[in-house]
Amino acid sequence: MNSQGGFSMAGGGGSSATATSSWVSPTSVSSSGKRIQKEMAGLNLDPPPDCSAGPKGDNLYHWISTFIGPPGTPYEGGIFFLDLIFPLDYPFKPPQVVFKTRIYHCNVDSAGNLRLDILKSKWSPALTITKVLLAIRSIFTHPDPYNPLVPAIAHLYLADRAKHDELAAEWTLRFAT
Amino acid sequence: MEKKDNNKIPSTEESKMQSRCDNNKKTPSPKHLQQIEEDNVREEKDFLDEFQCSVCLDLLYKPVVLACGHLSCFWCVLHSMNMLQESQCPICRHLFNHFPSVCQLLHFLLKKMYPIAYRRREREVGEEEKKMGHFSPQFVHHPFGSHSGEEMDFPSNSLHVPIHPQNKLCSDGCFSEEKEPSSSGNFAKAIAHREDNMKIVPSALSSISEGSTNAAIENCNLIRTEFGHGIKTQASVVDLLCAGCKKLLFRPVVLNCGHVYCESCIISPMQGIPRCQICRSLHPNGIPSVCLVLENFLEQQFSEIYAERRQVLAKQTDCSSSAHTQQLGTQSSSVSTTVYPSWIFGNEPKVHIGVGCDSCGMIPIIGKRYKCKDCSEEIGFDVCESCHDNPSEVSGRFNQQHKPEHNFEIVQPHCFGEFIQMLNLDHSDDSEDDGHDFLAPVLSDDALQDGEDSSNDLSDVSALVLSDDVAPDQEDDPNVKLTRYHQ
Repeated sequence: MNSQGGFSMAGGGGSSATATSSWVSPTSVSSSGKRIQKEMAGLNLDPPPDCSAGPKGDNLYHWISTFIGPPGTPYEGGIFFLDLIFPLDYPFKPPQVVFKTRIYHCNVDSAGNLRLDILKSKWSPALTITKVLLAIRSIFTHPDPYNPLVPAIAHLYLADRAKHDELAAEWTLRFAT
Repeated sequence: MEKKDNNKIPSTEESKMQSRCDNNKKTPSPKHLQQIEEDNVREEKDFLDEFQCSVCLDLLYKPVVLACGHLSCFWCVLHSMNMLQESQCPICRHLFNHFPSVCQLLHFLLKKMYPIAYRRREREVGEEEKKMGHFSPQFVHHPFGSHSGEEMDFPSNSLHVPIHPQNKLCSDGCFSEEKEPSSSGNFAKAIAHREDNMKIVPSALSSISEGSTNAAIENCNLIRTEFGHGIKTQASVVDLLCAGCKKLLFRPVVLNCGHVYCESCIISPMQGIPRCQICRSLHPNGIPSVCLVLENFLEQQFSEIYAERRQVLAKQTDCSSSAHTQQLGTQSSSVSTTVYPSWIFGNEPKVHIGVGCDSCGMIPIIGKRYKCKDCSEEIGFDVCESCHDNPSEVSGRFNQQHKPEHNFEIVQPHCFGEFIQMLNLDHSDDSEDDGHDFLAPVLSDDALQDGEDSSNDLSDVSALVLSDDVAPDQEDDPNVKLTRYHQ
């Protein structure tokens, strides 16, 4: 069967692939680890505003990030925790970002999942954690109601901005302070 | 050398320790260890930011320049490529189909300027390649700065060419930066014949023979101690010559074959594809954009000569209108996007998912796929139809020992149905057997990771299927889609 070609085996760890003829080769775990460490160093040198991020315990692939609700938004005064989980073939696959603190936002669902194009189809290996954090920060100030994860909130945002902000501020007070 | 059996995620300290321990086990070579330690101490972050790869954030190693002029390491580009359809440049998202060859000019330039950092990269990447069992191309010859045939006397050292640039250049009678720029034309002759010798040589390590690697590392150490420790060397004009006019590069562009020309030296036929004047290989993606990283470097390093070149060129362009090159430059991808969905429906043309052409670098191969029956490497040797019909002297992108006398067979692509079956097979196999079968690497990997958040994925599927405005967007990435179905 193998003679027909196809894919070789991939995966972080060593693999026992015998498949033939493929250009697809595994990325190594150590290279993703190295890159995450380099990013960590860069992040410490030049942290983006209103947020922080770092590994949870000694697992380099699981980070915790904290955002302070930017002033002038209904999220002002709130502290939002996020989980960042890096795949083993990072940066060729995007990190997974989940809000751990509940937030009233049209791009974040009740489970904390975040809809952000650069974390899905628009991911590029040249993007870094810093850039991801900046993108997340920008959804606090500029929600994207035309690409919603929670349509009801997006609808309210477009129809009655004051009501939306009021609710968002209320949630911030309730869950994020 | 056995594979490391721990999948532990190493931190720098740990990995250093790890490599030391491993080395102790396998090669009790205190000299080697000492060298590594010395290098670690000696190497500060001594390379320019512009030579940092934007993917691995380290010094570029075996740089590949894409048609848009952006560059990354060999493995970084390859891993960033989409095996299912057109790939995007990690930096500018420019679409491309072909995986270019390593730019040897830059490779040797970086090796010369940052000997310590480059050696470290060589060691690190070498270790990873050994683990993977796939190897990046090895280069024997400095394209410009060495005598032809000189290094050929030491084939076993081929991996670590003992270039000591200053000596070499002096012995060549070439000019280093300090000398008169105007004489730069004089050594054109000397260089011309060297071009022929510049080729990819199947390395001593091409098979997974572990002993030879060790030997190579040892050799490297010996050489290093002989030549003293790498002194940060200045780049000289000879390292940066256009393959066409043999003068200092001006607005450098890098072709798919890795050769570097001045933008004005690319001879583009009025219609059709530009061809490299040295290796005669086609450059399939229109006229490439200027490699800005290299241009900035040239401008900083050789500001006077560069300004001179600019003036000369400005005069020339006044006389002859070269407007057409400018227009062609905007032309991008050579393969129409419409062909990619064809593999799903089993229509012509055929798309060979996950297989690249070892000659022109097209990934995935579109049209007929010719597979070498005689190459024994795990990675195989495949060429596309046009490269099969017009064979060139390439030895594979991964150091395959392909010979012109080898025979090819035509291989049919998998149709969509088969592909899904394969995925399902894999899935059932996965539990008992770690996949002797085709495991789509991109896909299987995804599947494994996404296992944790399957609830999340389910909603994604519905989004893909149901909502109209999302679907076209996600269509870019059938890879994602397929894994979702797989779940």
